[in-house]
Amino acid sequence: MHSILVIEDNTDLLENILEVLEINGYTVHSAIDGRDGLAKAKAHTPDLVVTDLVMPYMDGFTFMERLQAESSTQKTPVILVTAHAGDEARERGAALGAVAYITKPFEIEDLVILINNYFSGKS
Amino acid sequence: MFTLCSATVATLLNKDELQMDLRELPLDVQQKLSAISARRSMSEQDVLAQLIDAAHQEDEITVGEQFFRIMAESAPILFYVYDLLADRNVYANTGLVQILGLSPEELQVLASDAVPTLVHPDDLPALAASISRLRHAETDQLYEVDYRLRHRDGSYRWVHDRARVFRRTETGQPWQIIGAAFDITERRQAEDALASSQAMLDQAQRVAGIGHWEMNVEDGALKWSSGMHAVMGFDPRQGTPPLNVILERVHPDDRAIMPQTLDQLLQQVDSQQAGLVWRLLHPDGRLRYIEGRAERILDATGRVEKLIGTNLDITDRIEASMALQRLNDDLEARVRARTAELEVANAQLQQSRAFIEKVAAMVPSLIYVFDLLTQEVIYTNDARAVKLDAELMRQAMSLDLVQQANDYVTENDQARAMDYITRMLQAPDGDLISEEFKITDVSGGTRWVVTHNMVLSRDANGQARQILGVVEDVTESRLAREDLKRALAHERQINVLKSRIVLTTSHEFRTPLSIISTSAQLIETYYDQLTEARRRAHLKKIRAQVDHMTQLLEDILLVGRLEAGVVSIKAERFDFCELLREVIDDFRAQTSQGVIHAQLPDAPLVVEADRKLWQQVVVNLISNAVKYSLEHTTVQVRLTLKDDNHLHLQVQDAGIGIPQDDQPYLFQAFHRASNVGSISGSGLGLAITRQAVELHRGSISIQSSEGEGTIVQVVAPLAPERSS
Repeated sequence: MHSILVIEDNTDLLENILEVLEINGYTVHSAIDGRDGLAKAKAHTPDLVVTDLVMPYMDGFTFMERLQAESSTQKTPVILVTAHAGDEARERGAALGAVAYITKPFEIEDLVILINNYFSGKS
Repeated sequence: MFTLCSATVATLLNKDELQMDLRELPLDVQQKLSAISARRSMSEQDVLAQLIDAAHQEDEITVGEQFFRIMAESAPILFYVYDLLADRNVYANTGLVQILGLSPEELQVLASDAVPTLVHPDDLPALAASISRLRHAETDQLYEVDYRLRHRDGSYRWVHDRARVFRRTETGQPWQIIGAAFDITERRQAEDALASSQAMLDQAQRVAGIGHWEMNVEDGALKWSSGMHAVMGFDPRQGTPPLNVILERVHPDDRAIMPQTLDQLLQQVDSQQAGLVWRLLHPDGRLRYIEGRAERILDATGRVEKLIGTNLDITDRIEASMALQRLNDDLEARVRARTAELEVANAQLQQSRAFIEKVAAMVPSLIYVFDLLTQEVIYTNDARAVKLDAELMRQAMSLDLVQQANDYVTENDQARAMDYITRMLQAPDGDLISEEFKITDVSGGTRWVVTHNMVLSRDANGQARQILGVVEDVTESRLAREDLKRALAHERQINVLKSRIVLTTSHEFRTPLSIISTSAQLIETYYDQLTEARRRAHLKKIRAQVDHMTQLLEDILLVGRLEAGVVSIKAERFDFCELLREVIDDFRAQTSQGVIHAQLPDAPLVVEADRKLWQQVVVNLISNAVKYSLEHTTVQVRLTLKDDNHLHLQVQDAGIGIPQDDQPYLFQAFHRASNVGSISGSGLGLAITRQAVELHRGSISIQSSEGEGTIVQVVAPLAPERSS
């Protein structure tokens, strides 16, 4: 079973994402900011990280750079979820190696299908 | 006794020498001459004749010797007998004493030295010649000579000496001569004076170019002075020319008037004198102008006896006067010509000046010429045409006075004005130096002028003397420019605000929308897998997010209405302490982040105000303090009564603070400080707060340092001011 780390500073939204991923059979870990997320990633070495871009203490891009700097998490794929609608953020995410980019508000099933497809494509 | 023989003596003396016209001599000379003449006729002539007769008879009449001696001794004449062979005087009478102050004995002592001693050296040759002639005289002819003899007192006396041989040797050679010397000193002096006077008169007449004439009316005889000859160009040696010859010399045009004038003078009784100017054809070829004057002389019976007159050569005067006249005429002609030229030039100048003044009057700027030496404006165009009012113009002109510049140029421009004036005064001639200044007009208003100046003239040392200036009032264009700039800045600000609104709203709306969307989909898609509790939790979430979004929308609308000034206070009486406690309790219930310390008065603080607006103010301030607090810090809320009628609310945090650059924009809607990071917020809170406080006639101030915290203070009256 794949494990997924979800990082989101809005707890209501975090709960909803965790809930749908659990229903779909994934092992989930959660964090409420980038700093927290980096610690959880190193602790659990998840198969995938779904992270918000705008967060307290450490934003999504910094989180990705730090994640890739760690040998244990160097190859961990990241899906970015953000309220930023601009192309600039999308391009920066792609440059950092994000596997997907989802803009808020989003259909929860779109996120599930994206994750399912990602793992089925890999295996 | 001497008068007896006057007829005899007359033959001896040449009476003609006395025939001169005494009337031509000065009166005193005439008198002297008459006296001498009279004396001569009484004494010397008669006495001499008698003496000579007596001497002839000396040899024959011995008795006569005695008589002669008596005669000789008593006469005031020097009688002498001179021995030619012994070359000395052998006899002299007492006339020697009378004439020379010497006694006959003294003369004897001198012997043969008498002549060289007593005779004037200048007269010795003449005397020697006379004596020499006597030595060789073959007859008893009388020899005459005049010479001077030295008086005992050293002065010389003129004597007229007549001598003849009166004794000869046996061979007939002249042996002794007898002579008589008359003292003629006074006559000689009178003659000298007369000659000198005549010479002076002639000289004076020649020099003056004047001559005089005299005409006897009876026989028409005319007599000229020598000056007359000189004036008329005739040879004086030829005597007075006849009248017809004289008339030939008169200019033909003037010939008729001369006899006419003389006739008139002869006939007219009442006019003694006549005068006329006529032209003379002088033999030297030059035309002369003669001023003639004539006067008639009447005899004792009242008849005209003769005419006398003068002719004055006034050619030089007339010619000089004519030359002067020509010069004057020439000068006048030139002055007239020059005056005419000047009038034309002046008319042109007036015309061009009028043109320039018309042009200058049409120019909507002030034009002036300023004299630095007198500190006066010496030219300015028509002030009525200038937009600036008179006082402002004067001030504008003052821009050019170094010492006055500071009074009118606004403070920031003063150094620049000084620099401008220095540059302008040193600029090469013809260079127009321009600069814009902000000036204060008489009513205290601000105006902008552009001054263009140049040095118009300099003094001998090269120092600027006159300044030409043009002052344009550019206030309107300047204001329009500034309006445009402000509008552009405002436009930019609005653009920034718009993008900020887009950014904020997109972020602030997207998160709640995501929650609503995901919760709704979870219920919809996974309805069966969700417990009833979970379904209710999702519905509650949806409801909460809808409320949050509604609040956000209301805030946006409220700030819009507050800024538009369309919000009115719905005043009610309430206890501000109570309101504050409620809000703080809510915060304490909602958040675990930060600790709120409240310090409130014990007694209620009743205010008359819009409770809803004040609630929003308090929520916003505490919410900000909590939201931007650092971990493990507290928020201090303190409410006090100020001056009995004001509330004083202070909210202090030890949070991230506000960067200096953001502080001026704190109260602008949608503005968020650069250091907020991911802390959510709409940027509306402080905008609404300030508008609400000011609506209640209160004030808000913020002190903040980045990284240290923020203190917000609000002061507001407890009740709105009553107008009555």
